[in-house]
Amino acid sequence: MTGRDVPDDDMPNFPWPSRRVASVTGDPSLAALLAWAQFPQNAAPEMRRVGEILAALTAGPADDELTGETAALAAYRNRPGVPRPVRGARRRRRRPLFPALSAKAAAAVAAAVLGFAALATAAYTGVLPAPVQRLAHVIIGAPSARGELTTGSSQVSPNGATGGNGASGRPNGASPTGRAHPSPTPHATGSPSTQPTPQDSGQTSTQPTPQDSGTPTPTHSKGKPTTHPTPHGSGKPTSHPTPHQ
Amino acid sequence: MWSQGGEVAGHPLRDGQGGSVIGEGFAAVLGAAQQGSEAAFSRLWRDGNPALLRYVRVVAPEVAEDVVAETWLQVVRGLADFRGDEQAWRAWLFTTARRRAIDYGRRRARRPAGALDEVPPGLLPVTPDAADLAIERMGTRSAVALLAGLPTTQAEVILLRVVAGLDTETVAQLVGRSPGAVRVAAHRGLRRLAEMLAEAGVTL
Repeated sequence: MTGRDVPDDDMPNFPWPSRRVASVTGDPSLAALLAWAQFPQNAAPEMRRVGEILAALTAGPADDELTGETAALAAYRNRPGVPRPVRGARRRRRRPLFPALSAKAAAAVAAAVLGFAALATAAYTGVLPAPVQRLAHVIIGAPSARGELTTGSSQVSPNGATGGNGASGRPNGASPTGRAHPSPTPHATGSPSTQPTPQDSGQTSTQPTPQDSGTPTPTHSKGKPTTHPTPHGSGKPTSHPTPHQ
Repeated sequence: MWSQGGEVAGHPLRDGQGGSVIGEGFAAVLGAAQQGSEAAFSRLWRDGNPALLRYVRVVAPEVAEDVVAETWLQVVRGLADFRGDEQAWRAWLFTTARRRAIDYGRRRARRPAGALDEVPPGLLPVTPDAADLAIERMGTRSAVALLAGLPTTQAEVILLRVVAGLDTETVAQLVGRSPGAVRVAAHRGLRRLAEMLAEAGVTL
């Protein structure tokens, strides 16, 4: 404990001051130096010089003592668990914006899809008002409007189904079973003039030849489109009509 | 700081002079720094860093800059949880710096040291000459170098009392000694300092 290799710092501190300690701490000038209190007038000159050194220790900062501020501020900005200053606030402001836009966009798309599906369903069931139904007929191929079924008694649609997929309106000349009466097909003589001419409405009409009796006679009743009516009544279009006779 | 009539202008920690102490506005500055104000933290840093450097340049001169940088990193991490006045703040700063310096000393002790005769003369540490100190009119760096010539405990206690502005009880807790031992070490150090100046014939 008291050997030569034991430094003074490792010696135990006794609670009572020894005589030597009292002599060391009894100098009022030293206490004044440490406490920055009133410096005694009778202080030794060397103590005044020590005071100058202590004053130099507390002088203003030198340039090289302020060089690490940038790194310290960087560490301060990146510290965990503390609200970010300006740059972090910008990020926080942007982050909620994108999810909000995405939610709005998703809601708009969902509403549009649902609306379109409902409109399409209504169009295919034929419950839409006539102008809208007509528009749906043109755009998505829904059945045409009801009002159009009752007009044009002598006209036949190109697909031969004037009733339009079993619509309630029954066309003139149509059988109660819904089968359409095809367009009048003349007994063609093979003349090119016997070929029907499609009209703008998509319906076919025939140009009877002089050999015809003038009375169109249906040759088949299947409702198949007959761009080139044939006298066989097979319903198959042929490019060159074959006369029966 | 010291008047010609022998009066002390006052302790910087008590009256806010010298630009190294924040004073009455410390609570507001600390609160702002804890809320994220860079300006407030910068003020804390500018107040504490010079004193920290002067202290660590005495207790761990070879790694002073590294020790101080690591001290601030640790302070930044614990800043939000700190509670206390300016005296407690400075005690925390210097306690952290002291522990970092001790860690560096332990790491250095594990590394094998080379023989001094293998070190080129230009790289050997130079003890400041008393005459040079007189010529430089006791600049801060010279005063730090002069204190580094004291026994470590004495120099450390003087720096913590004077540079850090801590009272005897706080210094005693910081260095793990009794307040009486701190007083003795400080007074012995000042006496030794006066003897060094007298031996060198320095007149200021």
